[in-house]
Amino acid sequence: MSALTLDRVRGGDWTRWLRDNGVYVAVVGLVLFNAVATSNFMTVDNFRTQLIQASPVVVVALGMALVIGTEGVDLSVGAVMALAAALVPLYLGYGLAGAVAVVLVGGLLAGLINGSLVAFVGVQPIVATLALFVGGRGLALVLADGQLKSVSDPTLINLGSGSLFGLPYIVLSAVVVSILVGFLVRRTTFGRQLVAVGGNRRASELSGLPVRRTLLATYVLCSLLAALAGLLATARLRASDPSSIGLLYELFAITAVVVGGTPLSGGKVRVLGTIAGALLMQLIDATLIKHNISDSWSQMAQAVIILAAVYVQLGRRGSGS
Amino acid sequence: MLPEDRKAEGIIPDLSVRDNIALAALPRLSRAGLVSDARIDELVATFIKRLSIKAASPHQKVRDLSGGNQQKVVLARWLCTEPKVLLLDEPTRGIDVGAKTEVQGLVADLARQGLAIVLISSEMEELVGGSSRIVVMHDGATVGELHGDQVTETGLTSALAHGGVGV
Repeated sequence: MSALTLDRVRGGDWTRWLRDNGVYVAVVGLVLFNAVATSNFMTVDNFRTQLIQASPVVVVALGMALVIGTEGVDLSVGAVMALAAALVPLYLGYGLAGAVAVVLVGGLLAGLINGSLVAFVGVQPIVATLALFVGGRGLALVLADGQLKSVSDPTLINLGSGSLFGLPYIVLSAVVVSILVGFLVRRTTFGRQLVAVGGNRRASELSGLPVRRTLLATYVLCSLLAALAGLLATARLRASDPSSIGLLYELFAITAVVVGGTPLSGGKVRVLGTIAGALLMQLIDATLIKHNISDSWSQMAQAVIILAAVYVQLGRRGSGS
Repeated sequence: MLPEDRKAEGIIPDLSVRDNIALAALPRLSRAGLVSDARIDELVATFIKRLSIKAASPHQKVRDLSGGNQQKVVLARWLCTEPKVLLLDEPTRGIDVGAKTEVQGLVADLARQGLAIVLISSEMEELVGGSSRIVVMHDGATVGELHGDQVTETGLTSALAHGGVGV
């Protein structure tokens, strides 16, 4: 019996290792490939551009990783980004602080809607967040009169284009969010409870964990991060464009999380993996663009990578129990 | 509270032995929402030793343990909270004979230490061996009660018969 178990573990070792570290190997591999094959790749400017582009995805994906850790999914993050973008110019008149506050309140409300539906009404996450996925962008377009509005607030523009010690503020924000989320997952009661709820909700309930409160807080955090990403995207674009900001971000985020080794079945949150996942998708995009391969190919490449990542996870489950 | 269906309601299979044990006591083991790993490690080590949980390390996943050891992990989770009353629902179901005796011994020890234990079981020897009082229930109603000297297999059988419970 024990010999059999051992054999099984050893057989699963390879897939397990690949699942845990594949994303890092892929990022390093792709950087090395570009170092050789792409001109002007190993420059500070290029790395800065890549990081800036990956940053909003990292912010959204980390929130998504938390939700996926509870065995859920949040399809509304892209729409929440659009909503945040639409709110910015409406309240910039009250100063940047006012606009930021309104954006965060918007994120909070979106999270409360998603979280309440999942935690208290008991709607399946994919359905619960579908409502805002569909309605959120619509509301954003109504708020913005369906128009692109350029923003001229100097602080906001500086947030989008400025940098501190050579590190762009956008990247800095993503770094800060990463550290906070990492801290949340590893060091706090909330983080431990979140992972337990995702691992076995029934057992968590019977162990006296505040399951509903944990779920609600998780969806609120995810929406807040999406709202922040919407603000960052607006700052970088120097315009509020609710029809394009955050478009497809739910898919980018889910991809980053899954490729980063967080299982969709919940019970685990991989922060570093998620960041690497977001960087990997960005690198794939950049690599294909720099070699003049069209966007449609890039999308197909992403699809192959998602399939590969999901396959590796299935392999584990097969050998796990 | 030790649930009947260990796999579905007791363990969190993908978490480590350590995190499973510390789960219910987390609020007591943290300050301002921050978890103290040192205190958790200390407490977990105590209970792994006290319940002689056989795991390669506290970081091993609970899914890789035997049924008996999984059950001890869930038991340890509750003991961490220093309960006064423990509700055990079929604590020895589906675990091997050795582990079964061990768990029964543990339960007896805990009872001796002054813990009130409510034991739910469908095994007659377990009930008679481990109880000071037995309440026989059928269809949600109490149909018989045994105290002190009455707690024997024959006493229990007759109580079941009177209560109209088919065994």
